[in-house]
Amino acid sequence: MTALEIAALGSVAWAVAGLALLVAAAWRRGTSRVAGIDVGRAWPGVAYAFGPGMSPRAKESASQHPGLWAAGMLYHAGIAAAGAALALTLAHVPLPSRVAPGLALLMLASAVAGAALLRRRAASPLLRAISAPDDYASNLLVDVWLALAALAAVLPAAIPAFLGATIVVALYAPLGKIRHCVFFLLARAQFGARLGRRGMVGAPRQGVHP
Amino acid sequence: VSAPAAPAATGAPAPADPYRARLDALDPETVARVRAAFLALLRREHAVDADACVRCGLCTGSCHYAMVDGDPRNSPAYKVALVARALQHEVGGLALLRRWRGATPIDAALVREWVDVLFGRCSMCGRCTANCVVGLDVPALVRAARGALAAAGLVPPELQATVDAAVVHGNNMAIPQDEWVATVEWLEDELREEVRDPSAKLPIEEPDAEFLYVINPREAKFFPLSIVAAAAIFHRAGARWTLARDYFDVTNYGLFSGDTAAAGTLARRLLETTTRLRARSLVLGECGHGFNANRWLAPEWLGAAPGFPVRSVLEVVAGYIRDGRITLDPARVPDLVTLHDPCNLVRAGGIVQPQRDILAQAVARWVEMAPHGRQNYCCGGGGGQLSMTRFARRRLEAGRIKADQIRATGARIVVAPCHNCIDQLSELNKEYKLGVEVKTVCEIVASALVHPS
Repeated sequence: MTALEIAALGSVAWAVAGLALLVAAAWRRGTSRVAGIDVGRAWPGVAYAFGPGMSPRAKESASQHPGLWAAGMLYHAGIAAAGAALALTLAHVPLPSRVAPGLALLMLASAVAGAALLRRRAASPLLRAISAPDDYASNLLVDVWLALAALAAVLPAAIPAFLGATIVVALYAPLGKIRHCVFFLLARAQFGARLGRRGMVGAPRQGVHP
Repeated sequence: VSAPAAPAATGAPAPADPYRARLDALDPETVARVRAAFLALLRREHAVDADACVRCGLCTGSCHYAMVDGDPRNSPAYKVALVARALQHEVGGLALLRRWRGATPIDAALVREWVDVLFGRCSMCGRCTANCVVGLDVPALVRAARGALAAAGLVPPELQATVDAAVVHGNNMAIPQDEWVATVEWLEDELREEVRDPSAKLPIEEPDAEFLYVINPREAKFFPLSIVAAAAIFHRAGARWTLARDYFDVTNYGLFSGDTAAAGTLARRLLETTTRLRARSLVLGECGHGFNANRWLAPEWLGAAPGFPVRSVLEVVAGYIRDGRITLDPARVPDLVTLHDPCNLVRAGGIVQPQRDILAQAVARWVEMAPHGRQNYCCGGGGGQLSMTRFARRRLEAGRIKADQIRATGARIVVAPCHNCIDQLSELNKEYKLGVEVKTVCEIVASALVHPS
């Protein structure tokens, strides 16, 4: 294992530990939820939140902006692919030659989608009003990482650059907006659980009482 | 604060607004109280949501305030950012990093902006939550910040007065107990006429009833016949029910002011009254926020679940129809009807179907608004907006979305199972010349109720 690979692994460990600490800090605040009042179960709501609730039809934010929804989905699909490519790279498992070009294309398209979202943030007065330097930097860092991941998938000489970008992104992850990679999942689960417990998904509401 | 409208140029000196003057001259101790209360109120759910927001701004198109006025401060994303940035500042970290992330200290300027934006530009309807790509509980974040302002005595005085009236007098309209009891006695005569039964009763303080029924005091003060409507339904169904002499108010404006102590006090009174009268359940009259407060949030404020069911009157009436305990003749309501979905009852409360089952049996023709159910638009009266007269102009302008929805249905009657919504819809009716009648579900059911000849 090269020094760069060790550094990349170390930075990923830092990211995981940092994100875990952030989640633990949130958990230490406790919850105000009280048992014994629900009319439904949380899990069907959570399943809805990560399933049908993600579809454009389920929310106006997606149905009114299909292009943005598609860009967001593509962006995050590419990030997942780059994560998988990173794992294979660190494990010294070469990408199958039949898969590599497709994966590279996905990650490149993902980088372009990320850049388009960055451009939107810079162009919109509302988004500028609610954005901090972190919002731009996080997006840009991930876009560069994706582009290098795409390059490394088809050009082994680019692997050191990909690992270098990985170190920067992973070190930054718990410090900035990239932390939403974990908090999105938790918030979405909270949302679904609330729907499930209140009987809006997965349980007949009428006539059901605790 | 840009919220309080400047008085019209009449030449007369502007009336003093002590609240605004206080905001303009906030002292460090008051700001410190806001900060301390904010940190104490925040729970895991708030912290998770604050770090989950990606500031995509896609919620903007779902908010009735933002739809009628493109000011960025109307966007739910802006409101979330106001709260989340403060939290991010308070949880610590390097100063440079906090600035990089846009974290904002809780200072006098932020407190003033919280008042203007979180009280003055949000009805806590949760439509942004339903349409957020993440599903952030925006009303909960807004309520936490409002609660911090409440702890420092910075709730707009009109809203605070409503909370205080309920805490001090037992109901938000400060109706004296003897006046309430006299109203009930007088209404009993009305009920006997309505149901054509001289033995019909409007029970008060009856022990061991099936349920304690609590109402919006607005009914007792201004619309007593809506109490008769519900009583007629209960009478025909043969229900054993009761009103309470002291705590009969279903509303809970502590939900809107963010004052969880006051909210808990009001909620506890209803639960204790139910227990005192040995009623088997608590039935909440037609009040959207009263349902959300007493059904879902009261256990959180009080730290325990009630030992009996807490239900909406809509669930009860729908059950009577389903079980054949009352008979309705829909031909008695021939006009086209449409249904308004109160946000706190439907989107937050989960009561979506009972009112639809009721209308299907009670009226000849009815039509849904578009959109409806969990995607309904807020009428604009929630979140304490009806109390906060200083923000009335914004409330009526934001209500244009609902007015347009109503007009598009072509309905002559708007049914709204919430008295606060009815107040706002009645104002929209005048403001936008809709030419509709606005009624509660119980009033519609009572109109269709078949009495023995």
